Amino acid sequence: MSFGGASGNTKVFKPTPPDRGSFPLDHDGECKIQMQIYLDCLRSSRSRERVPADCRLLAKEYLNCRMERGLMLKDNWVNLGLPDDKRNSSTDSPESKS
Amino acid sequence: MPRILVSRIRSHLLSAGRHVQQCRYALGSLRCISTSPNSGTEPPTFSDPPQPAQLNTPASRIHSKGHLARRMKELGITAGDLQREHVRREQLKNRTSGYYALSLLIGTLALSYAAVPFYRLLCQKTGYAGTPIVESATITADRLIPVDSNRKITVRFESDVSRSLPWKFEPLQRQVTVTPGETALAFFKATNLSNQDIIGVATYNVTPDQVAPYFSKIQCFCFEQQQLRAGEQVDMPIFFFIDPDFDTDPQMKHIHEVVLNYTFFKAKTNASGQYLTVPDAAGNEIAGQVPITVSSAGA
Repeated sequence: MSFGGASGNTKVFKPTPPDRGSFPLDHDGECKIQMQIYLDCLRSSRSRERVPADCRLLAKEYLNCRMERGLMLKDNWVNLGLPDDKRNSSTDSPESKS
Repeated sequence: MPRILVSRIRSHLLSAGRHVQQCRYALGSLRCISTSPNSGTEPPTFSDPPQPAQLNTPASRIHSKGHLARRMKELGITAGDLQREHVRREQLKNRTSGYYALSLLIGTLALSYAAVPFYRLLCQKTGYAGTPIVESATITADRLIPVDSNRKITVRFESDVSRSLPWKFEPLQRQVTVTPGETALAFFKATNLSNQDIIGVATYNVTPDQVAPYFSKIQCFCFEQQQLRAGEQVDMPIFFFIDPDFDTDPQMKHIHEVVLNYTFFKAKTNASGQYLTVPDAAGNEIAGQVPITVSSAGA
């Protein structure tokens, strides 16, 4: 892969493991509905661009579903970059730009 | 007995009954020359510094400070003792320097062995030579704040499956547009097309390579064995973000598109660690071997 490549400056790519490990598989499709809603939102947002930022709350719903079913470790939303439950804004969190 | 001229001496003794030795301390060593041996008839005595009249006598060529000779006489030290002591000291010096040299050799060997993990540790801590800094602490919340610029990056998803793995594996969205610092959720779908339970392992690749240090995954489905029952279909999410520092890096200024490619391989071992048999290119089953995947576009 890097044979004969430029020496010195090339950075060799090393796949790194995910920060919190692997998602347990959702064998029973328990959160499938939330996933579908999220994907629909993604497809509908801004025609060509798919902006997950517009669908953050739905992503939050999906991850919430996973946490409730034990498919993900519970954590604060702020650690996951998602808006807290206290904020009632529709799809924007104060930090992100729309 | 011819008169023997004695040069200036610092220490010596006459050992009657043995060789008359003339010792000279020069160049840091004690050099002694034997003159004609005595007949041995004389009993061992240590004579006082000779009077001038005795200079011609064979056994008493002493020209030393009188009190040194007297002192040595008191302690019973002979010139032979001095010589032996000197030789012993030389040997000790040689042995000591031999030990020093040996310890230096062993120390260098040990250092060269320790250099490998030490270097790896150094690279991990400082990110030298492009090593991605993987900290054991989780990604902190302050990295997850989207940057305030107009920067948008398109992340395209590609998927590959190893030839020996009868799965269908595809992304559920072709691309997403993200801002650095913003977390994004994306999905892949995997279907087990065979009639057996199969365990697969996924790995990923980020193109262009320079983006790799900035591409952080909070959680995904890679690097762990995932078992699909026969005919099962499962959705696999990934939760990732691009580090906010990406925005301020001048080398990344021209990068607007990132391709994230996941590849599924058949696992070599099952959950209990036993090697699974895998068909090779000819279709024969070989235990524990995974053929190299041929990367083809699309699932």
